[in-house]
Amino acid sequence: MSPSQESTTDRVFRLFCLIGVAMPLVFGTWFVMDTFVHAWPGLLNQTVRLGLLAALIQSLRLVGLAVALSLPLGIGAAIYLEHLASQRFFTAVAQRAMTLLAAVPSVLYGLFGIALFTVVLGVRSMFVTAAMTLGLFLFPVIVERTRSALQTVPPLVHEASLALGADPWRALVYVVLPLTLPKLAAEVLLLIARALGTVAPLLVVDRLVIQPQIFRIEPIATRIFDSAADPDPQQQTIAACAIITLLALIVMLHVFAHRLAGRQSLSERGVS
Amino acid sequence: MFGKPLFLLCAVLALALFASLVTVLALGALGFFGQTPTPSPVPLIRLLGTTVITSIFALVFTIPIGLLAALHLSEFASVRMRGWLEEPLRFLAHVPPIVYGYFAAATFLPALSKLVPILREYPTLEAGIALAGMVVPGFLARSRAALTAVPQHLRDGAFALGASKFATVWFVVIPAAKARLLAALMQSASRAFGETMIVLVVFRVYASRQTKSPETLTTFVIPNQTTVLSEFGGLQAMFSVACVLLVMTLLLDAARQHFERLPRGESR
Repeated sequence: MSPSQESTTDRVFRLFCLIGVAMPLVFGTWFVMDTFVHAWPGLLNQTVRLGLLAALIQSLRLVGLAVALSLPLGIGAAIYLEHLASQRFFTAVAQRAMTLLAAVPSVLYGLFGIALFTVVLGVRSMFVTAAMTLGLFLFPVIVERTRSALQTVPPLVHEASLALGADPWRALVYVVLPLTLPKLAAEVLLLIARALGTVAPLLVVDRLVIQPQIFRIEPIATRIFDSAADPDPQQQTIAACAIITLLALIVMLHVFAHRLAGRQSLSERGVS
Repeated sequence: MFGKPLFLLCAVLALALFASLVTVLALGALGFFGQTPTPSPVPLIRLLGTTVITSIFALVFTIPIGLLAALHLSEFASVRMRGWLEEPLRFLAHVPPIVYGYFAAATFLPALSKLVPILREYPTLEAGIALAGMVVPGFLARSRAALTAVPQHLRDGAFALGASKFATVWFVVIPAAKARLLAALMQSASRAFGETMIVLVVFRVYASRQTKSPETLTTFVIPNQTTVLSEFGGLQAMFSVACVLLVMTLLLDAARQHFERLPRGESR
């Protein structure tokens, strides 16, 4: 339809749609600019920077341990469900459990983690409990993402390697997995970005048991919460600085992930 | 084939995780991890009511904005424009909730309440607006996927019959995408329902103004002095609330699955 034929209704409708798409963008721009303006005095301050660095290091340790624990298990489960499982029923039930777990609110993982690890299994270190809780929270996401990465490999390639005499195991390790590797690596980076911004489960683990200051679990995301809920302007500046740091990290991880995933996969090259 | 049992173990772990999550929360609600001698009843109805109201407020703001934006991307925007818009919108969908919470509490809501002063009196409405900020990008992406999945020939057919753009979208495209749109809505509802940090920050800031603030199911689970050591029976109360939250999320997820299984317009 050419614009000259447009009726008033259509024009109003198009205008509304434009407003709809503009709103999130304006909101987003406003919030990045505003946070940056708030953060500027804090970013120049040595003490604030050192405090953030400490929080950042704890964040990275926590996320590193969580990902190291749940990544192998998650990838293993995904490979089993996607390629090795022979019983339809088991796969269907496991699939259902995964989607339900992914829908469970993150706070509940906090309660679950502290009850399971500290009370039932008797883990002494709160840091390990927090990391394992975060790992539990990430587990269903890992399985889901790995499965979708495995599905991008065209079945033809898998079948071809089987037809050439590879046993299923070899076909998996030498043909299918190397092809998913860029996508998988990208998903891991996105996962790390997500884990860095997770607060609720860690907050439950940290606050349920009252502890001395040195054992407190306060990664950068929790730091944002503590400062944001405090009306003191100094704390507001710290929150803004922590947000800028976190967002910079997340943007970096996203850019890397897009670079990795952007490499042409086999199916896009016409082999499908 | 030595590896297969190992992988099976991983998959079984996935099932065990879900089973133990349900078991642990239920045991906690039964007072397994500590109970107080005379617990007073948890204000469950009030918590549930606040949660439902904040989620509904969030959806009321999310649906029009998200749907109109998705329509713009799928029906009006040129390919080049779409390329420009996509990156920032995807970035917004990956911003952690706590960041939205901070921005809403520190800048957005104070600015908005200058325009609409009555807003300050209703923390649930404030929390709903803040939640909408987080929910919109995800809803937008999903409903956009639903709208672009509607085949072009349906639109062409409507145009050929002389329908205007608005009539085509309203009577052809949206009905064809209805099942997936509803599934997207359920997903967003479940996210708004289970979101903790945004609501918590908004309510804490409100409490610093007004001394007392409402609580939702999710914020009740975050431990503070009043819940752990309080009249509600501490841990047991938290676990009971957690169980209610779990059941509600599972119901919402079942609704989402139901809508996803409905026949879709694109297959006709």
